Amino acid sequence: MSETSVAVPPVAVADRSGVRVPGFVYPVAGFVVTVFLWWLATSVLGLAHPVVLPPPQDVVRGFNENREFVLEGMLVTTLETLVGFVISSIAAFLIGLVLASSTVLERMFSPLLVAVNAVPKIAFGPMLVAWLGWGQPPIQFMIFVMCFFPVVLSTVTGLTRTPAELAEMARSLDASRSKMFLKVRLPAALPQVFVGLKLALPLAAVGAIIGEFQAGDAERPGLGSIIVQTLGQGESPTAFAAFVLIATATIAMYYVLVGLERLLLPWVRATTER
Amino acid sequence: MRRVTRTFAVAALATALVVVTGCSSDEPEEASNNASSGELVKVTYLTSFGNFGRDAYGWVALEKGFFREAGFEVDVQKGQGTGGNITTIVSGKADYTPIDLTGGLLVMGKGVAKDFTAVAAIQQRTMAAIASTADKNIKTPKDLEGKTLADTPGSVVRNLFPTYAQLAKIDYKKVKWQDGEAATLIGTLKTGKVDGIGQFVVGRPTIQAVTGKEPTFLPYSDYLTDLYGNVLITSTKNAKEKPEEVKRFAAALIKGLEYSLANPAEAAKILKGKDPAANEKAAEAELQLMSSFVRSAGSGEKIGTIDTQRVARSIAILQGAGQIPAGMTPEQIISVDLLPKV
Repeated sequence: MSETSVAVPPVAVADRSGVRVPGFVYPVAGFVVTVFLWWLATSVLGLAHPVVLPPPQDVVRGFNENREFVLEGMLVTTLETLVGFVISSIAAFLIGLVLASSTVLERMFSPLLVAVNAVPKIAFGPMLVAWLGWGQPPIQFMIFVMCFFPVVLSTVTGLTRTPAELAEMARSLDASRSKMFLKVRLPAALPQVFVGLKLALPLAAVGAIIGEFQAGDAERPGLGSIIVQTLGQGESPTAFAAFVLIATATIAMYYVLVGLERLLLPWVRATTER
Repeated sequence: MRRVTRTFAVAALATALVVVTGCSSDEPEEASNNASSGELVKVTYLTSFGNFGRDAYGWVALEKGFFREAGFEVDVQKGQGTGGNITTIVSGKADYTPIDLTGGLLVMGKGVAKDFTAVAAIQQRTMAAIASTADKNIKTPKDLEGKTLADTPGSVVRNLFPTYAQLAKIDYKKVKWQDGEAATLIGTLKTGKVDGIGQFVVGRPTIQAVTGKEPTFLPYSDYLTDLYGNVLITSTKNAKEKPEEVKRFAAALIKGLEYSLANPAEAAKILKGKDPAANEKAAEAELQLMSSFVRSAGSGEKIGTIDTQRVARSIAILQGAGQIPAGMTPEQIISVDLLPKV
């Protein structure tokens, strides 16, 4: 009935000797290894030009020298991403609901959705300002076009793949259509919906950045605006600090979503095995 | 189930409309001709590109109250270069912006957009150039043959290169061009992957700071002496319906430009205050370099004027190079009646 999560929050894991390693150790270790390899490639082996990939210590310096406005930018972009993701997810879920409820509608509009998703969204960039001006309208538009498709697809898939035995049982108990939907189809679809949400969240962050590149509000610059300005001035370390911050914010939001999934769908872990 | 389907369909449509239109409070409001009643006219002004020193004067005019004195409440936004800015003006999303006049002639000549007009000059000479570093040994135009340059597709430097090459007597086919993004050109020069980039001459301090090497420039103004640099444009609708308002705005912006050139350190500080990501030192140096391009050396002309004879000669050069069709006149792109008087 249920799909396993793409990723789970860190939990304590017992190794072969039976020692329980706190769950956070593994992602922290992964981060440390990544930074070490990054330092090795840039500062020791010189595999990448500093303009192309600044060493981690330069990125830290770039962050420290511009901490105030870079953190403000992070707050702006994170809030935009969150708001846009929630609105887009609700809209996409409703679109998926409509498509799943009617084979005719699904056949009429699914190819169009695939076509819209296939268009490289960055191509919209230069037209954003002419269409929608600056600030939130174009940024939210970019977030929506980037992240709606995975949620639509996962919603349709989840709602049209109800396990036969559950549907049969509900029919045998004379369940009405609405009860069937609320008590059987929707709960059965939720794990799949969450897979779509987890795919969509990083895309929402990408949409926010692209929107800011082209149409960020000069009064409230987000990380995308900061990246364009600092790269134009040759300040790669500060631009890379912005990259790291958006990645950090996205990881944090992702794990909040995973935690929400665990809270709302407790039966998934109870009834599945890794 | 049909009722449920209809209900969800309506809800989905409503939500999609909310998502697309969103909060419209960030959109620029339509300018209204209320100056006579004492109300400030709300307009949107775009910088030419980003928030670098060469565009500080717009922020200076705002911060020093020149716009307010002239009766305007101005929303300053970052521009995207000549092509993007023209689109924004003709779409009505912004009211004023500087663009490169040659770029504007090319856009208009190719029929891409026509509904804009120039109402003041920002730079009397073009600042377009090919920038390199001393180690590349590009000291004369002839040294460009066999070299690789980078610039954004459609940039003025790139578009004008065949014309520049012809006047400088070099074979433009022996010069290779790579596509680059405006924001990363200087970084690309630093990596050594290209020998030169399209830049404005005011980019010197930034190139020096990023590459750590002495920059060298081949300014287009050495051969294309009649070309103007940036000019202030507005929509033809705005120019036709609100000529006095347009003249007042241009005058206020030019006042900001004069103040910035006379006080580059203060202007750079104002820019930094408005955009913390801006580089204050580089901005000050850019303004100092820009000064000789804003004033017409030796002619004593006031800042902001446009000589239609020079524009006619510029058009002739572009027509001779086959870049715009025959028949174009300066009056098609310049609103002569609205220009600052000599």
